[in-house]
Amino acid sequence: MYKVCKKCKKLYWRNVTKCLKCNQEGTLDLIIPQRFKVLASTTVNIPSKEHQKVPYNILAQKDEYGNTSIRKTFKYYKTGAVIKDKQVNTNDYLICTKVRYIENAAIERLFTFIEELLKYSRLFIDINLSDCKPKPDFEAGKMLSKKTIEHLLSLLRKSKTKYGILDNDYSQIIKIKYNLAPDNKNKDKKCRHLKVISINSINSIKQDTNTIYFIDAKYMIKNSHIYKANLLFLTNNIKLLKDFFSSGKIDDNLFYGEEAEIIYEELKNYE
Amino acid sequence: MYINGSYQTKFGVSDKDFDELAYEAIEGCLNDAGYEAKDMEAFVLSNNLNYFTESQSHTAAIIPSLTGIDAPVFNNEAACGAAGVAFTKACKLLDKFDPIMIIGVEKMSAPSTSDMLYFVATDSDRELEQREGLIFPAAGALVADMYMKRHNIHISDLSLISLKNHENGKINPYAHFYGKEVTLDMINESPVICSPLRLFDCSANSDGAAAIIISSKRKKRDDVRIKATHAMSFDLATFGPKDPIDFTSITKVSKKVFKEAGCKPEDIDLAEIHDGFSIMEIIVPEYAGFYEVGRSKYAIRKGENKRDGKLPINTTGGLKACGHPLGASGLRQIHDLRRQLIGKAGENQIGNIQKAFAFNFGSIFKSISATILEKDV
Repeated sequence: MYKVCKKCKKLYWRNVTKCLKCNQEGTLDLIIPQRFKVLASTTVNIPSKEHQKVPYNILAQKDEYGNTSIRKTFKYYKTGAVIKDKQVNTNDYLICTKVRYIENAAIERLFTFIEELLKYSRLFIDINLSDCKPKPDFEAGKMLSKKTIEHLLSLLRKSKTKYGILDNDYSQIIKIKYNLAPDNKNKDKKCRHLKVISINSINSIKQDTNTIYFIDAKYMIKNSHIYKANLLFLTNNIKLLKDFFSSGKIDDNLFYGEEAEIIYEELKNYE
Repeated sequence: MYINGSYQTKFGVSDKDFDELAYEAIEGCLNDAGYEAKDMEAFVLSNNLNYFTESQSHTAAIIPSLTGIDAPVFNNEAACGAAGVAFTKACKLLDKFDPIMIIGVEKMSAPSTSDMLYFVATDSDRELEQREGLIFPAAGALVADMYMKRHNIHISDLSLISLKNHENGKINPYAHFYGKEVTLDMINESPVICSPLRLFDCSANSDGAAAIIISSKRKKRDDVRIKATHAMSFDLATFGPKDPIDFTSITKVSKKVFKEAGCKPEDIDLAEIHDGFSIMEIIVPEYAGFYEVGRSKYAIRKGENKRDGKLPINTTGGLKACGHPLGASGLRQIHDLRRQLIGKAGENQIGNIQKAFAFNFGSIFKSISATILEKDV
């Protein structure tokens, strides 16, 4: 997930809004690659503080746009192997993405995994904005980031679907209903709710039917400390997420986006 | 611009604390240059990891605590390239403050290897590299793997670099590996840290300090002239560009420094090349203009970079055998070039030389500095 300037071809990993090198507006393209070819790999045999479980492999990979990046994996890939993001094709799913500086790109990536599912759905979004209210400093990490909500809404606007907001002053409202398919032709489509929550409130969340949970885990609170985890999740089964957080156990087929073992290793750093 | 004096503590595992290492380098450098601390108009401090290793930030203010002198102290942090960049910074400040002392210090032996790998890894990109487990030996390994495949370099070429640097370090009393015999078999049989790099392809974490005093005036006969120095930083992430092993960043800095010095790579008699990993001693001479890209390996096989070779490189042991206290290495390189230029390199002395080149960098060619020194006869 990165931006490339159309004019000078400069690649930016960070969330810049203008290519200052060219000093022109509107030259940046947001790229969310989905297909990677392995160029080289190394096996790391020495543990370090944040990567205790060894051996692991690091791949140098080239995406479909020709740009390169690296990836940690516990799996073995040969040079030339192709790694692709796959669409959700199971009844239950837990999708995870790392946020690498450009949060809106991470959110967009999350939804690409359920693109096909959403085609056949009407979607209503419930955002509990009470989560966004300022909290005392020590609880700041519990807040659902307002920036995240802005990005989410912006993504849905970008998808050119009609939507409605119950109150114009959205900083005051509790719920936003968002209808991806409001026209009559789509009346029969399955109705789903998208609940947007902070990771720090998952224990109080109950499983509802026909609900997709968008979980903001950029900041996590453990033992009164706030950690920058920089993760986002999407699931239709909150139990999958709760179990994964408590034990790391999940059927690999139900985990999309990142490698489950890699994410669980990261989470263990916050224990 | 001249180097009036320089000093290096013994690199390695030291009983001395950070402050004591810094103090030894400061006092030694003042004595070598014939100055008193109060003569210094400014200090530039180079350090990378003190926040982690000693729980002490705001390192600049340690200098007045050690010298008793209230003076401007400019802190500089640029990963393994901190000292080289600090040297360039000091040279650029010389029209405002004259003379200036540059001090590089690092204390690395106390933390566990696991912690130290993490501390050093914080010099890489947080989201793109640290989270992906790219400790620096792994970054060096990926670069090595791709570069070796493209240019048909054999692992035995890396062994020859390591062997040469250990031969040089063995006779350098200030080197981490001083007096230690390292054989080709030991190198070849050393454990793989991150494939294809083995233990002896990686520089060691060391404690150490170095200091240099620069001035616009020549103070004594064996002062060395700073012909040119330049530093630049580049996009932090190692990977991203379409060709991640096209190291034009090295060429940009080197071209600039050669142009400023009014000379060419072929005029250089001796080079100090940052060999944090053995593969770097192949890559840097190629992109800095000493060899065509892909040709370094032939020079290594012919022994051209040995002390008696056509272009001696790392004649005192390089980072590989001197050890690599991150914040001090770039100054140690310049100190060793000065020792060679003024004929005070002891057993490592290579004869009468005129021009020398130092190349230091942080992360994988991200904060780069290059300096050309000349004997002032």
